[in-house]
Amino acid sequence: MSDIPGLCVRRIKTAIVGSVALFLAIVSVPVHASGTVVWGLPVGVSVLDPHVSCGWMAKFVDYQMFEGLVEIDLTRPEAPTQFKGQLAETWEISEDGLVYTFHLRPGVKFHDGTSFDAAAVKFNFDRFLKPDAPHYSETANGYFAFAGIVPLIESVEVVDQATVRITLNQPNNQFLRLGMEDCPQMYMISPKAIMEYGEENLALHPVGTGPFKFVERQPGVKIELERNDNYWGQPAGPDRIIFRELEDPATRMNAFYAGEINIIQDPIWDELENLKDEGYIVTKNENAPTLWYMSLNTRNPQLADTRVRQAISYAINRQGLVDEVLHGFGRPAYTMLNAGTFAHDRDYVSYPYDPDKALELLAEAGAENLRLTFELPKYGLGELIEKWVQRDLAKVGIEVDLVAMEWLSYLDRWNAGMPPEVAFTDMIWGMQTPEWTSITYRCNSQPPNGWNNAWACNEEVDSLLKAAVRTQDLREAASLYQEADRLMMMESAYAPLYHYANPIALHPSVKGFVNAPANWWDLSTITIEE
Amino acid sequence: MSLVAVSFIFLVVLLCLLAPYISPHDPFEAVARRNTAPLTGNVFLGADVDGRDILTRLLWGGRISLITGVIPTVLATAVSLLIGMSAGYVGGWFDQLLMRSLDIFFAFPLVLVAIVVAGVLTPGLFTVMIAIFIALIPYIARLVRTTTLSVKTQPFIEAARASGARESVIIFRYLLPNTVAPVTVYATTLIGMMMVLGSALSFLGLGVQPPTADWGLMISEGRTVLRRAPHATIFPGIMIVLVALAFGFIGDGLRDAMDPRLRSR
Repeated sequence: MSDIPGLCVRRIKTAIVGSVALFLAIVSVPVHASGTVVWGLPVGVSVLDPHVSCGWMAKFVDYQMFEGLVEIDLTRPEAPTQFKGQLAETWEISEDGLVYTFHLRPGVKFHDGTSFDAAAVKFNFDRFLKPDAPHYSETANGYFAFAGIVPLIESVEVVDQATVRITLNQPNNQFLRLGMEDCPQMYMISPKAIMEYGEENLALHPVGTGPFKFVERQPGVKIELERNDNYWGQPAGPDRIIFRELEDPATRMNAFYAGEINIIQDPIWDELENLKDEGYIVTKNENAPTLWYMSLNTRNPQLADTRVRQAISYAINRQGLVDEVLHGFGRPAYTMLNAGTFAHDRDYVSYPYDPDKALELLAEAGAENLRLTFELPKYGLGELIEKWVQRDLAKVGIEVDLVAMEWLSYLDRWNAGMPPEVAFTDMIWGMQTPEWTSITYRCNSQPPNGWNNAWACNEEVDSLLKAAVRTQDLREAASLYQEADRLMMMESAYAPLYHYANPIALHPSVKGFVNAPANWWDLSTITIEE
Repeated sequence: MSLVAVSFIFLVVLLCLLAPYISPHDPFEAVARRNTAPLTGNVFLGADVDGRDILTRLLWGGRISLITGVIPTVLATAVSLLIGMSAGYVGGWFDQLLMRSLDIFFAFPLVLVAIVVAGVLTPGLFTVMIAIFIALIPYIARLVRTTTLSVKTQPFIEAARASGARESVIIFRYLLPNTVAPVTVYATTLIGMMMVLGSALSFLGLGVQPPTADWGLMISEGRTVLRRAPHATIFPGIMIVLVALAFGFIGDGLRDAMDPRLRSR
């Protein structure tokens, strides 16, 4: 008799899940047209003008349509990622690290039929460098200045039709990588399109040289691309890509189960095991440069003592978080020098889980009855990560109030830096260059000039970071970045929580997808098997 | 049937009232592994996405869900009696003014009115009650007015007036009792619906805020793990359905008991 209640429950479960699935299957029409990739995006896409756009999703969509001189090769899952020549076949960097010479690929055409050449490269750089150019964009200039690219460039010269020379005013070993990030994107846009559509309308008519070309965008509904049959390289596998902006995790998940989308980015973590059981392919990349971290406000009176901030970092059980909440699709993070970059040190552990040590430090600092405010964005899963932190901190006697906000209003507050009454904020971020830590660590990166929103400042860290980016020896650079990171971890203004493994689930008919260590992926390698 | 319904409601109210004494766990503490299935370990109905006991949260959440169903409906009925009876009894331009302004609300679905009201206020239990209260008034007031209009012309009112009864006597002794009956029936059936509406507002994030439990919010939180842990959604869903049905049956029973034609049979 004892198994009957269990059986009953299971039957009810099956019946209800079945009817829900049936309902979804009826209301949604699967779109498995042959060779169509339908990708469920977790966040909305900003404008599709690479020079004036920020955000992983826009970069991801643009990656399929546009190309840079040099790009990251996303057809390999290993980290750190390697460069590949896209519109430049080869390139050289002078001994002193100041002069970059790019030899362009001949015979490349933009989607609108115009030719790509050195003049087009110069034209694109002028858009954000040369204020007297007719197509100069102040917005683009602002984005490239914020990314640290504008102040670096001394000149861009056309040597001949197939050669471009860029001269820097100081050596910077991360120059190429900075241009490959999402904010903004150093892509080559058709000069004809730039002139024809102007800054107002360019984002509605993206014209690049990539393996896919733009078809249409219905805001909030979908972005559709089709294969570029005149592509200079290996033609893309899929005929068509449709990006669907499905921000609500449950909606996205249901669309995947119902077959409306055949690839889902960020499935609900609690469904990851279930997805495997049901025969879907779940991919991940342990070396994704994606880091979930908390900022600990050094200007909050209760957190002013470094020992209190260190105690907080000791008190968080990151391994438990990764096992219980992420189902293993991540790795505990003890450094801000994120995975996927050449300077990441897998073995460095700044603050292992040690609640006793935390209690000791709190007692030493004389901190009692701490009650701290944690501002966080709503991401549709009920604040799972922050509740975990809240519970761990409660175990060492720290009370945490969670204040959840809509994403856009949160982002505004996060960008502005924390006011003194707020103790924590969190963010999921990370670049493929260790120069990322400069953006979060340097004294002059404090808002509004950067994203050092915990108001941390350490002169020694600053000079180490400055030296790291200038040297021509990447091994030396790596150790300088690590030294800076260790100093900063001692300050404990940032508490990294975990390296996210970017789970992406595929319908079994999707073949050839590579989950590269990045926050955007190359979709041209995919084939759909019927 | 309505007796069964009454006893069921009574039982639910009792259990929810006793939640602090009888619930097996703390409603906000994680007591089991996340998404634990029912009938395992210390959690009879399973654990939710945060590892909290669902049975405990059903009991605590029931307090809020019942409050959002009952209190705004009772208050809206009282206010509607005032509005509807005065409009119906006084008549003329006063009637036109009151009822036409209430008619505006009928241009919008009840849920939409509630969402707008809840949206402009800060989310919380009080907001849900205000929203439901405001959204309900036009519906009940219209019923009160029509009933008043039909009762007003009944011979016994004329008789009372002819025998020199004062206005207050006519209103409170003759008009009110004959209006209250059908309105009570209507309001009772509404309670169940309003619990659903309150849950819907919580589901949309306009109602009570986490970590407070409320059946609608529990469904909302469980929805992300619908396949892995369907119990987190199903149990609060069953409770809402059962309680709403029970109030519907009670309303039916009341109508049968109060309708003179049915009674005479």
